[in-house]
Amino acid sequence: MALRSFHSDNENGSQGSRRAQTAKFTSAFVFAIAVVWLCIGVLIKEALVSSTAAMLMLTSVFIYILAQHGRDWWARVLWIVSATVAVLLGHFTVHPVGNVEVMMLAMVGAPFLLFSLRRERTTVAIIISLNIAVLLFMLFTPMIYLVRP
Amino acid sequence: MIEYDTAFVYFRWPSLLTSVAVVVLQMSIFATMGERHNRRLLESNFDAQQSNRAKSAFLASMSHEIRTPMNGVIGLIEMLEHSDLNDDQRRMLRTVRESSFSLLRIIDDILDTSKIEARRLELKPAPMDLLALVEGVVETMNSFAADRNVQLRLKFESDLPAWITADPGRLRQIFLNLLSNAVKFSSSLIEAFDCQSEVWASTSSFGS
Repeated sequence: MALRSFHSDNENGSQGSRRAQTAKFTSAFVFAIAVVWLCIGVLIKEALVSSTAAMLMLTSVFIYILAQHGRDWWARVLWIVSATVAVLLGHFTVHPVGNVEVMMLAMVGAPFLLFSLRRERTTVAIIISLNIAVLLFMLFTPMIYLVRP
Repeated sequence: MIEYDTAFVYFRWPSLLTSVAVVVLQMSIFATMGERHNRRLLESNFDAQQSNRAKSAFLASMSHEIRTPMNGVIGLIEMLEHSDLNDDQRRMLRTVRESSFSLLRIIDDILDTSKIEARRLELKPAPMDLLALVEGVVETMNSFAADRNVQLRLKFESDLPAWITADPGRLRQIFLNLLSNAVKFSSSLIEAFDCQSEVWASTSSFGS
């Protein structure tokens, strides 16, 4: 809740609407990517991949609704959290040759996409730190994989 | 769990493509934001310039409108000075006259500032007697300097040209402002108005 005190949900002026538009646009983008992954999950008959993709699709719809109602800060945070959780699930599921870590690398830059460096510096710093921590965890914990050699 | 073969065939490229798509999305949104930001900056700059022009125009118009009745007031004061007045009335009239002139100077300064901002200040160069102008300035400032216990001394070098081409009104204004500030902020007793050939208008303070 400390993060929330830095700004209102619906920031004043054009900045607020611009952020809300970004949240809506990125949620549509994630929805499209999730559809592709849902198809891959169905194709290889992997329930975990399909359910993760379905979870992302549902979250994207929820993010869109939140942004539509002016709760764009929550929408943006949910975007980051849901995408990070999905990639982390992939890390525990997919063999390292699947390059799931690369997706996490792209996610490290995502806070710059969704948050203002000027007004939401603390949020950006915390989310990037968390994403880097998750990435390092993924890179340095290969023995977690429960795959056959 | 998804094993090596499946991951190699079905995950390797989709994961990379997803990452590339996210990075491309990030870059395109940054580029759009930068473009919008630049456009907003340009618009703000244009608005600020418009506002400044409007302010200058308003100040110029207001100053001009005030100046006209002020000239009437000063004219009437001068007429009153030539009428029969007792000492008290004359003293009060002198104060009114001085106040009117100081108000007129402020209005003129505002008008000049507006003209400078609007780039409409025009200089009218004409042949003029430099020594006469400098003497006039020192004479005008003498009483002002005396009130502040500052003694004015004029030095005019002999090799300076007697006649020069300049805007006499503006040159007088520059000298008056320069000397007025020198007297106002001087801690010394003697303020020299030194006209030399190299730096031909300068003020210098001497230790008291």
